[in-house]
Amino acid sequence: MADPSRPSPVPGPGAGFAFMGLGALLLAAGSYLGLFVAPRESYMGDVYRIMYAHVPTAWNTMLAFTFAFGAALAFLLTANFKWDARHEAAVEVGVVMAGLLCLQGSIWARPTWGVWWDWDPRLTTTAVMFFAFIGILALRRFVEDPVKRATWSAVATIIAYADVPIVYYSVRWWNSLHQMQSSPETVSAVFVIPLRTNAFGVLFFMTGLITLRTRIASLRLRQEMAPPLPEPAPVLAPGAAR
Amino acid sequence: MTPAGVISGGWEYVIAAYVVSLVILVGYTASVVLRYRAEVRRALRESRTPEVP
Amino acid sequence: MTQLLAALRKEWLLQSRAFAPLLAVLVFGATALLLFSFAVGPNYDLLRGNAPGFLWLALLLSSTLTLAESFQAEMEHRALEGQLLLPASATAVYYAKALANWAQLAVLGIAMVPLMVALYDAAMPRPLALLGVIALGAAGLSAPGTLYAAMTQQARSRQTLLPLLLFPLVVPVLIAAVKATSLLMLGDPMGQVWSWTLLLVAFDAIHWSLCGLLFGRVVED
Repeated sequence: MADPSRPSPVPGPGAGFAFMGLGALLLAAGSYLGLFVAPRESYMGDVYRIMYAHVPTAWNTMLAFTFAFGAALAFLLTANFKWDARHEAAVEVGVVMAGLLCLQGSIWARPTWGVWWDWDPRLTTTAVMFFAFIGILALRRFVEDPVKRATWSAVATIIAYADVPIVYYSVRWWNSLHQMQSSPETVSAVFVIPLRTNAFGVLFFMTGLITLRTRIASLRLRQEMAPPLPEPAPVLAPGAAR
Repeated sequence: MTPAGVISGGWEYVIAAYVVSLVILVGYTASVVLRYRAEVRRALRESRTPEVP
Repeated sequence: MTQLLAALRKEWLLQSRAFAPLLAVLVFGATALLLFSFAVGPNYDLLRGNAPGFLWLALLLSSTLTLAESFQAEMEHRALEGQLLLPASATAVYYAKALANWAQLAVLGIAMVPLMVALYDAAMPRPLALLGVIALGAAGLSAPGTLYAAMTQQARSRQTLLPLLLFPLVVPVLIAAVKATSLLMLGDPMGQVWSWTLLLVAFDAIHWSLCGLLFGRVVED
């Protein structure tokens, strides 16, 4: 489907679908184990099972944004637009994951702490990142020149990502007087297998998503940077020059 | 189901979390796949050289 | 260095003509402070306790107005490209602009303090320290704000885009500045104000260097 004279800058769509398929399988297996096979937890009863969705999502959200940061840096250093395509994909996927993470965290918080939002530093930082990177998506949408769009959004991603540790620590100190963190940190072996399975499941699935989304971005970039051929000329006599 | 520990039951929250995750992941995947197909179609359309009879 | 001084002189000239717009933004900030009190109601304890938060929210909202305008002069007659062709270093342009914005925001913040004292019956036991916190907080808003103002000046929907980009980024400034101000105004039995001030200093140090470094890429053609 790509122009055969130019090597594809990203893995083809086949790879993307393969990743997603593998990820979906792992997720199905991990979720089954986590929901029905793993035993009940001593303090949280069955509610803890949300962890099997929540923790893998958390790890992979950070991974997506880290990849976005890397792609942004790579673009600024190499000026190669394949990094801009990857950057756009990673930011968009990261935003979706971050939003999902906040929803999951909220659903967890309700039965455990009785409130929909408890200002947990990690979740609050995720919410801030969610808004920060939505802003970057908006920036990309509102800038039409592809070079400016790529450069500016890369700069914005670098600054937003550099900000994450500061946001985290400031929220943690701010909240420390009011809140004891009681989400499970140490996980015993019987809980680990479904967790790891799901973690890899989300990782592969997300890689597939980013791969496909990168294809979309690079196809669009190709169209933007090299305008399409003009409309065909009216019918001419055979042999006449176009 | 006999509740154990401090928090009893709560399956509805677990189900809610998984359903939300599924909906968002499937929905976003569908959006990506659809946009990808549209983009490929558009690229094919525009790369086709004009036909000369 | 000479470039920085030259750019600063340009900013000073611009500022001396900017008194009326600055006054307008101050009125906006004052209105915001008033509206906050309506939102909370005439409960003195509540107002006094939340006064630091109101001050910084008002300053944050006002910053979107001053920052958005800060590149106005450069946009007219494409003066920014002209400067960069001189050749003026983009870094000098950035730091001069960021310093000018800092000055504006600090002045706004300080000017809002008497209003805060009056409206919310707030105490002022440590005015000099409060000045310092306002200066540090304004610096935290100015550094990334100047960078994003340069970007969004040329984009569509610029009025929405600047706060959309800036607000999530300056959450640490808001948290630390409000905490520090609150401790200064309402009492600090455990001496925590220094850790919050340190957080502000760290944020400022990181962003004044990082944004200065990246500004060149933002304005290059």
